[in-house]
Amino acid sequence: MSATTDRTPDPASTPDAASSVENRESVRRRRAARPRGARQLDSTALIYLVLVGVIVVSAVLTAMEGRNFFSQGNIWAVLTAMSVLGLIAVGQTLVILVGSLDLSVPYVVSLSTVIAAGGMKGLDSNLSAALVNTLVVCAVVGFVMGVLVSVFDVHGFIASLGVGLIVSGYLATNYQGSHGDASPALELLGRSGIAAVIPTSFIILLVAALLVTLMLRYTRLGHHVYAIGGNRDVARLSGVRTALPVIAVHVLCSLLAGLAGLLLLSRTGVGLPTIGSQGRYDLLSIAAVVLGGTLLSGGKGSVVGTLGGVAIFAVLDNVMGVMQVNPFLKDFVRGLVIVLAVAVYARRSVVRRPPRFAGTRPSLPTPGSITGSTTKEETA
Amino acid sequence: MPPNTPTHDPGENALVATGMSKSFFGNTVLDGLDLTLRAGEVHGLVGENGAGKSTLMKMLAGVHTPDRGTIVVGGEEVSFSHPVQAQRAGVSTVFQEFNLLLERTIAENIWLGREPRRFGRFGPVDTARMRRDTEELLTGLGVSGLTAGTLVRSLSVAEQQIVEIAKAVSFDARVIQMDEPTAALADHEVELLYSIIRRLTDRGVAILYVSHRLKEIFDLCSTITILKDGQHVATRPATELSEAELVRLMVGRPLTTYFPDKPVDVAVGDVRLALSGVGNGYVDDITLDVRAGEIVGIAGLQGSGRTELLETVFGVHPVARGSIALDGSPLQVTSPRQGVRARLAFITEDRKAKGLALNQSILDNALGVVRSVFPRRTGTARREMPGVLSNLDVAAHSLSQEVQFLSGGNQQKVVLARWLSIDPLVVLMDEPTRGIDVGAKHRVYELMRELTRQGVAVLMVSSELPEVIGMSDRILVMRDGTLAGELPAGASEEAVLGMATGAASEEAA
Repeated sequence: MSATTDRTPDPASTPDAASSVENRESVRRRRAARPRGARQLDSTALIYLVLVGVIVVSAVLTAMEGRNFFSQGNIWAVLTAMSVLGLIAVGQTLVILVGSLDLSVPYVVSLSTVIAAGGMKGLDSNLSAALVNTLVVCAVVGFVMGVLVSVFDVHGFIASLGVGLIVSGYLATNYQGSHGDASPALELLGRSGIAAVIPTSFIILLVAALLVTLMLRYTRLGHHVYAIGGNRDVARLSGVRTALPVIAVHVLCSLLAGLAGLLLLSRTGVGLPTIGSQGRYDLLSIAAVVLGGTLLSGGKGSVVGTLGGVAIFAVLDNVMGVMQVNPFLKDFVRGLVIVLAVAVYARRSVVRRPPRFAGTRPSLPTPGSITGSTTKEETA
Repeated sequence: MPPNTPTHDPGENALVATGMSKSFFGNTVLDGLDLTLRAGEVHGLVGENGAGKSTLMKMLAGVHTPDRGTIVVGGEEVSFSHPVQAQRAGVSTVFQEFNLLLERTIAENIWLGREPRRFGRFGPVDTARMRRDTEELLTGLGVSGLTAGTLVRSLSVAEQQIVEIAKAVSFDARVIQMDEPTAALADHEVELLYSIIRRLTDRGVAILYVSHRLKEIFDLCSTITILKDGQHVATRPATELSEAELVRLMVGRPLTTYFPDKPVDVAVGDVRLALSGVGNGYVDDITLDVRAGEIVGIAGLQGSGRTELLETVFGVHPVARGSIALDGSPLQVTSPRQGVRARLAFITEDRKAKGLALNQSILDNALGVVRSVFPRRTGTARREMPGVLSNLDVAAHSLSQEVQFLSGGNQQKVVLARWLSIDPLVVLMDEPTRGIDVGAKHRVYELMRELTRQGVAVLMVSSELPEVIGMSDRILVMRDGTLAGELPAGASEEAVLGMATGAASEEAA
């Protein structure tokens, strides 16, 4: 594109060819308004391409350690690792899409394990009551955050930080060490799977992701989630009731975090009041969502992308575990991946105002300059 | 209801508004306006900036509630407290700022908030029907080449506008208001808009068309209503008006005389700022010079590239072609910081967004520029600042008051103080008196005169013609990103407006 731009004659200097210049001019302007090159991969395709690359590199590194990345046991391990963070990240995707944020997820995860384990007391007969109980509590936590964000206009960051702290304080005062006992049926579920390759927990994640994707695509709620995250004023002016979707996604996010807690409980067998914060699910889930191509400001993104982001983290963790990498280096690699990914996305999604004239070089405003807001120029 | 069938008889009254009045904070913006739109007509609404056009549109669109007045749509009296109510009643509006979600598809934008559903109230969204209806709407407008599933971000401005119009039509609109619909369009895109408008009027839709471009008004409109200072001036059939007559009706007001006289002791000096052939993505082929002690006004329509020209000089946009010289030596600025270092001052048009840190104190704001660019002069500036501010008659309890609690005029004075602290050689002013009261305006004008006495060159963009004419030594008129011409001090408003709209550039020049 830049090659044709270079050859575009200066419109002012060739008045006789004005009409043809005008046409070429407008075509060029139109192209400039599009994201650079229609051939550009969308971010979901990009993230899965990166995932394939990460898997290939990991397979090679694992092989160098004399092990097989694609062994049944290893695939099981990767998929298991994906399922907990995956469920949380799916919920986080919803919340971020609507333009909010949920920092309370690790505490909700912990809360879920202790409430469920405490309710089950190691008996299958208590299972259903404990599950319902747990999920209702999680839903209430999400509801409170949703109301804070939508009705009281508290930013999601603060609302969830506050609620998260409250839950964390409740956990710390009331539970020291492990608590309760998971029912045998739940623990069996934690060990079950298909053909010793695909754990049940991963299937639960896939089902949840599918349901959320269908919700986003085929319900008004889903459409309005995107609309509110994209531009709350536009949504409101179009007659969208903006409070309801925000509350709904916060409830869903907390429910999914609660579900993730139940999956953890199925593996640990006991409720642990700090398991969520140890897993650092708040920052990791946000990172996975952003890595998956969802805009942190909302309005654009997908659950499919998030799963890709979660998978990348799971594979990286797995290979670093196999290689017995120093845990600090692990974090370093994770951090690097997030920052690089976001830098790449930022470069791809610079909002450009189509220029009026052909520059001899692309004379577009740089991302950080104050020009971004001049698009809404001169509204008298 | 199928959106593409003619539903309204031509000639009947689609909308009758009577006695529409609105005031904001005691300022009457619109005073007892009557307007009748007939089905199938394009009704032009013209007037200078601030004449009340936007306010009228917003009241009809349900954005503002009128203080007084009634609106009758299709024989029924209506009142809107929300834009959606207006749309449901059949009044749709295509604003200059599009209300579109960039990351969503055309179909999702059009049906936002009323997505069709399968199987009744709680069913899933019927995406197939959304797509079908969208494509039907677009075909009905005679638009080909747009598919319902395209992301709005990937559309050109003209295409986005088509989406807005399609959305307006999808409410089965009787009346569609369009605010400066061609402001961002290229010539051949304007043709497409015309053809869409003709299709709509053939269907019996009434169009309220607001534009500064007189040619379009005469091309499209059968009736023209002229507003001035919130008052109704005239409503006439287009055939009974000439362009010259229209311009006279728009501006026919006595030039107010509160501009301070040009001081006699100011001698215009050498060329201070000189642009030759400057061009980039926003402006092109700009050649101008401003002399020391001179005020050069830049007039032009909204979107004609005036702001961008100032931004280019200041280093916000890179210069792709041509050159800029300051006091005879070449000036190369690629960032605002370098602009400040070269002692250019830029008073931006939107002081709240770009001129001030609203929740910081007067002193911090006033010292903002000097602190960040000439830190060693901060001490001096801080000592002088109380004097500078009181000289500008800033009314405030103390210098530590947050600027957000100041009136618009006092905020603007803080902005001025902020820039005076660098002892500018050139002051670039963008709408220096927008939204400030008369007293503050007068002080700003006096300050401009004082600056010229000190040999500062002032380049001022303004949409207020009396201001441009009353203050400038020379007037440059911009049109579509280039300079359309130069007029001497004291030129008539008709001449400036004519040149800016391209209506009568020959006789005006």
